[in-house]
Amino acid sequence: MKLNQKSIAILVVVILFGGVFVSDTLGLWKTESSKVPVKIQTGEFVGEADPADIRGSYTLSDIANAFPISVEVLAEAFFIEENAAEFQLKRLEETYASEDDFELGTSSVRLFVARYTGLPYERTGEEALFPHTIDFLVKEGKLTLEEAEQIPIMESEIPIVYENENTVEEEHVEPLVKGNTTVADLFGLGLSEEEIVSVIGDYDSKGDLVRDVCNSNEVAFSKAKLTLQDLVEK
Amino acid sequence: MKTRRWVQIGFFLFIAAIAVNHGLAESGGGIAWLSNASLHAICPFGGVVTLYTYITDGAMIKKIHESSLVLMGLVLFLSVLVGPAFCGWVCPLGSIQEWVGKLGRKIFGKSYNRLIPKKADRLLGWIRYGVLAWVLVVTALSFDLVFSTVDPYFALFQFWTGEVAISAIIILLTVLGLSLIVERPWCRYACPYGAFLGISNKFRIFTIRRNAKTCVDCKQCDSVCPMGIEVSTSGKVRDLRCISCMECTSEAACPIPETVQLLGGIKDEA
Repeated sequence: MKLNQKSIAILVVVILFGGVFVSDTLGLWKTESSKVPVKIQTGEFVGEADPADIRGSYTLSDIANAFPISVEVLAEAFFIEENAAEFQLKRLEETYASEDDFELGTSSVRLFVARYTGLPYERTGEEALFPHTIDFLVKEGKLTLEEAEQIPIMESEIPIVYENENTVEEEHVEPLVKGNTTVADLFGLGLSEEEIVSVIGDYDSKGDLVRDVCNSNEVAFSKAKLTLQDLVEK
Repeated sequence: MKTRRWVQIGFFLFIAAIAVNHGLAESGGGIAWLSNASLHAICPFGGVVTLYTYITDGAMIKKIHESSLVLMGLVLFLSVLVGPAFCGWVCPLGSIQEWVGKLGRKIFGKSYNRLIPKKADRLLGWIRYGVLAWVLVVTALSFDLVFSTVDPYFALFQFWTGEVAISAIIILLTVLGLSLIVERPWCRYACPYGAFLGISNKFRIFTIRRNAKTCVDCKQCDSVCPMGIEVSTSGKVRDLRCISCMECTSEAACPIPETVQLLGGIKDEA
């Protein structure tokens, strides 16, 4: 049997387009991620979903389906205020652009999910978290103080109102107290010794970071920040 | 214009349209009746690189979807029938290299395609098997689409987005530049998918065959082969580099009817 150019052309078109049509009819043609992370291959957690495989295309509900964590916990950790279930992780990077060596994005969610669920995840050092997220993990006993100090902090906490796939409304709130704010800075903001100690507890030196003082006194930094902000704005 | 050229143009425009539509869809627009799949989702090589992970773990490599596995199966079926026709008729990167090559022919005339000695050309052809092995191993170990950082095909249809690694753009420009002096340089020396599909030449059902009895040894078939295969010394063309483009056949370059043809069956005409 002999084939010519026209035969090949027909074969190519029929096999490729026909095959796609048939596979689509059978429900096999999927051009979007199935949102199933790979399983951990070795060690104590073999067979569990691997947080390292969380991808930017995942929504919070995809993560909640794959890991023992709720959409509400994720939404609170990453300041997502509305329609959180449909929020895609890659939008975090768009919202929290950083010129530093770290970012608040998909990798941050990987780290958070891993620490929250107790699943293994090796940090790259680039995953930033919000101060209140770090505090939450520490408070829940899911993060050691030692590791908490190593995690880069994303300061600008912007509540994300997620309207639909293409709309992200942002309301920027510039906090007065940040992760690198020292006790001396609080004095500079006009607070008295009593006010400071009443919120963050005793400190050793004015050069101490407020965050460290809070951690050593087991005070939630996220709450302390808000209280201090209120005192300053009084 | 030859049938193959029309098919190449058609697929090139089709893939380009989908790539553009994907970008438009991501920003809230796009053409509703046209697929807005990502480029990774409509690349059959994605099916090859994710196969190990899919079999061992039931999961796909990042950015690769089930559609890639479907396309991989379809292209494999096509290759078992007629060899790597995907390379010669469909692949947009192969097509654009050919089109740039036409310009190279005009510029360099008879020097075109003769700058690399035949022996070196054959040896360099094995590099793509090294690339294939590297891609498969590193992808399986990392669960990541490592090839996308050097993939000129991805760069060709995504260069206007921020998603393309600079290394991939450099490789694309290098490939297009080299296409002015060598025909299909990426396909010849570096393409892992071409290497993979090329294996089908060893067992394909329909094979390019030269009838030695009627052949006048004019070597026209050799001079038109985009992959540098010596068809004039072959009975059946089982060379791993054949892309089933049909340029060497009596329908195209060969001046003697029914001398170089694509025939089915196992009988050797040589």
